[in-house]
Amino acid sequence: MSAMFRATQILRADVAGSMKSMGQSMQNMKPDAMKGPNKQQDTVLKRGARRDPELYVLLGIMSGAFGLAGWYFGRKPTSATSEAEVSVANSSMPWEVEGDHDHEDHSKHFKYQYHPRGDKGSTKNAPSALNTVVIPNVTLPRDLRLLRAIIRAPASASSRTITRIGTTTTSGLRAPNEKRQQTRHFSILNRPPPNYPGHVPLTFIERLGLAAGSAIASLANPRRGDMIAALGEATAQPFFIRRLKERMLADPTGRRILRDRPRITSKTMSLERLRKLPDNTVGRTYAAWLDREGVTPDTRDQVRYIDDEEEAYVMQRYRECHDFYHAVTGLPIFVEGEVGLKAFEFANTGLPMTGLSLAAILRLKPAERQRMFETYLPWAFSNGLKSKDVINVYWEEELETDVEDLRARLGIEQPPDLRQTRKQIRDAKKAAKEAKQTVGVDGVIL
Amino acid sequence: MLSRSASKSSRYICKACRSTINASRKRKFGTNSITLNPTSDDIYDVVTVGGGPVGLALLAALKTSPSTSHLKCLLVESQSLAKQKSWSLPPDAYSNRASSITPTNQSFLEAIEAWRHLDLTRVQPYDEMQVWDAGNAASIQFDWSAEAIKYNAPLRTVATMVENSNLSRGLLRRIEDVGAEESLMSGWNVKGIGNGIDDPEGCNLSTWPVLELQQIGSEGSQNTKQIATRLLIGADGINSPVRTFAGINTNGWDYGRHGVVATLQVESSSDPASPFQNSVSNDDFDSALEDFLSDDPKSSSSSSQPNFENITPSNRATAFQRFLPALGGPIAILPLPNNHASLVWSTTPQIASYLKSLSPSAFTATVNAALRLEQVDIQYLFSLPTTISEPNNTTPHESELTWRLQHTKSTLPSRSPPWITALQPNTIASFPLRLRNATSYIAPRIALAGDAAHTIHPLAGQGLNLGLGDAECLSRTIRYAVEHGMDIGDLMALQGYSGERYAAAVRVSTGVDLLNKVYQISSGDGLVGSLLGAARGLGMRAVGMVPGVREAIMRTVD
Repeated sequence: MSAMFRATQILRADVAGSMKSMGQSMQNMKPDAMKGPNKQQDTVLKRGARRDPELYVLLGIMSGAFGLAGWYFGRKPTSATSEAEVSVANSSMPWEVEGDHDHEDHSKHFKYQYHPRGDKGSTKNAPSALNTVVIPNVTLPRDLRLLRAIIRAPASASSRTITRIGTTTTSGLRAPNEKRQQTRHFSILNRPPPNYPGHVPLTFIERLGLAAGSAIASLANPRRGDMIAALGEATAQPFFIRRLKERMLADPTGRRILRDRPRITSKTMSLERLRKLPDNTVGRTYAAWLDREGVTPDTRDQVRYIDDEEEAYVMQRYRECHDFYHAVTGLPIFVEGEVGLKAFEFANTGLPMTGLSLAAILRLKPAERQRMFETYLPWAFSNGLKSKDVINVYWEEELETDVEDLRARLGIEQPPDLRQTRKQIRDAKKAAKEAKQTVGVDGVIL
Repeated sequence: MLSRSASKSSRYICKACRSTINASRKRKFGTNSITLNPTSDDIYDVVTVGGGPVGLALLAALKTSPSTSHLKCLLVESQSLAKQKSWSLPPDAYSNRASSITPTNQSFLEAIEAWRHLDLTRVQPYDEMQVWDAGNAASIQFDWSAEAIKYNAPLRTVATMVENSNLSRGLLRRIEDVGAEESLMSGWNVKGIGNGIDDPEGCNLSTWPVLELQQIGSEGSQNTKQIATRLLIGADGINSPVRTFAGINTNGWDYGRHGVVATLQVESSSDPASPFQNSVSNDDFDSALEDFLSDDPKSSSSSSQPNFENITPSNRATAFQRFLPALGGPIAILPLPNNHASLVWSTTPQIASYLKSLSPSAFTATVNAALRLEQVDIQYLFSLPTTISEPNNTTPHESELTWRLQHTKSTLPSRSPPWITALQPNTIASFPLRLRNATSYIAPRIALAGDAAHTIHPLAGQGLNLGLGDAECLSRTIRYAVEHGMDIGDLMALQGYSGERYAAAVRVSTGVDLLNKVYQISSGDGLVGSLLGAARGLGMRAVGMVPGVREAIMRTVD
């Protein structure tokens, strides 16, 4: 430290000298003259500032001092018990003095006294008119039982201050009328009880995290049905699923579905029975589609993250009917078909997850993307918007109706069969490739 | 020479006089000309056309005040006032037209000594109004509890529910009491209004309004009368002939809504309509009280001082209003004595006619639904058929209500609305809602009061209150004019009335209209609709939480 100090001695002498000369030239008050000789001094100053270690120490000390001051002033300016630290002399509030049973010594009587029931033998201190209200012998409303809590709790010094009278705290005003259940703050350490079996209540941040994580996971691997389901549940609240539920409630069939609460599982949808139905019925098409794609009705996850029990059912119903939408529109299960169907569902139900799934278009091959933009997206949006709500179709009752009939009733046109289109293109490509290969072997067309 | 002097002198007629002269040639209603030849019997000081509460209150006020009791007054009403006077209903039946009277108007009625002639067992003072919205979870409570707690006083009344017939009958009794029954002319129709003629041997009645009256039920000109009056007061309702005669236009529009009224029976709750008839006494509370009042404190002094400051005084009755933006307007349940309530539901004409066609049990289920369920559910109820009933005799409305109540998240206010149990038979009625304001409330020798001057939306229950305020102000103006020797019909004498009442009426009617507009912007379902609902909820919460705003609002309609 001292070595550094000595090393900078020359610099400091320079600085000191320049300061002196600057002082002298200041007295002359010639602004132009100041520029010339001081230019050198400026650079010296700058250099000094950069190199002079004293300044760093000074910086440290000053920041420490200001930081300390800031911390001291910035911490809790008043606390609930800040009054308790005020020391009060014993007799400074004589009306608070209690228990002076010395009836003879009148100098100690600071309170008004009276003889209860006219009995001259005993005296009682009258209650203070300032900070107590006494309403004897009335039957108070049941609401005021809450006051029991106030009475039983040890009265702190603050509850008896004079200033209480002037202020009417709004919490006090509302307390008797407020709802009885005390809502504690919902946090990860304090989850409310589930509203239905399997319910997992999430805080807002947890929901946000779930939405973000499941969006990334489902984009990375569109086969992750559970991630898509979680994305749907995380983004549907509070508005979109409520709107879907209200659409169901506005429709008579939708209301019946909400009353009956039918579930689609392999137990309730007997596939053997469906396979026996005539060919162009909804049930047969559904069974055929399930067999073609190799799935069962049991592949759907349970709804877990939606808080309202009825809205959870709506979400579950939407999920379970998804296969029926495939059957009615004929879109296949690979990514292209799923994206097309999700676009249709977005236009029809408005759930945000269906809209977000359209990001999967980025994962499609260029030819698929072109097909999507040319054919399937326009089909999906125009049909989804103009057709009736598919959530309001009571599928269990429509199993034996004609598929064309149902499509006409709902107002859905069938898009071109994607599986066939792709097969045709694949076959054409294979034929072209074989043709090229056979040409290439001999150079002669066989 | 003569003509020149005449033309010269005509330049010295001031503009006001010239306009009156011209006006007297223009003002007419319903008649081509009135050749008046009234005897001195038929010249009156004040003639009021219209025997509703406003006209009757004005007559009672004029006859009560000693300065104006000598005026020759007449009240013309086409319906039978004798029937009004003999109106009576059993104690458990209430008329479906009931209005809430503010404390100011109650003081006015007490000052003219009409209040004691009302059947006070049939009036219900209420001290709280709960308002909430179907589009969000906000609610606001209007009461004077802040004042009551501050001054440790009982709750002040917000308003008093009085049946209109009760009020009219009380006023008629007062008029009889003060000996002015001959001033009442009931059963007479106003056939026309015109101006009198300048009788060279008699009076110059060319600027005085002259009414041609015809007794109802008589054809021909047997029972007609002509009366002239110094001051003609129009208290004759929204299509006032007096206003037409005066040439006063109105501004306003029809809301395209109907107000459905009915009398309902409600379930008695633990807070009945009597001040001290409240619930079970709390033994623990009593024992705490005993400890406090006893002589020997058990432990340290501090624990024996319970805090009694935050007691809200007990409530007598509560009025409820729920806004239903998607269904046309608010539904209000106003308390009446003996567990009855008056319903006022502003809604679209289609829904109003549907409600009127419902059976009583379906109607009560719908009203209960309107107070508790979501708007989509209430809208669905309006699509149900009105005649089919399911087995065990329940209507589809009731079964829908039972089902949806299980699944509706409660967004009720802190004091929940009562459960409607029954509908009093033959009390459902509806009337169209309109906004009208006359461009002027006065004209030479004409004054308008009540609905003739202004008609507003029933959302805040202020229509009759404005009318009674008009009656009070007009009686005060006439008294002032008489005491200062003025011509009571002169425009200058009436200016005080117009100045005071015009601004007040426009303020209230504009405020109520704006509030109605705010609560009608809902755009059904959709993102915009729910965002607007959230915005309204924030506004309502802000009004409730900012100290003083609630009290300011209540003071304007006090």
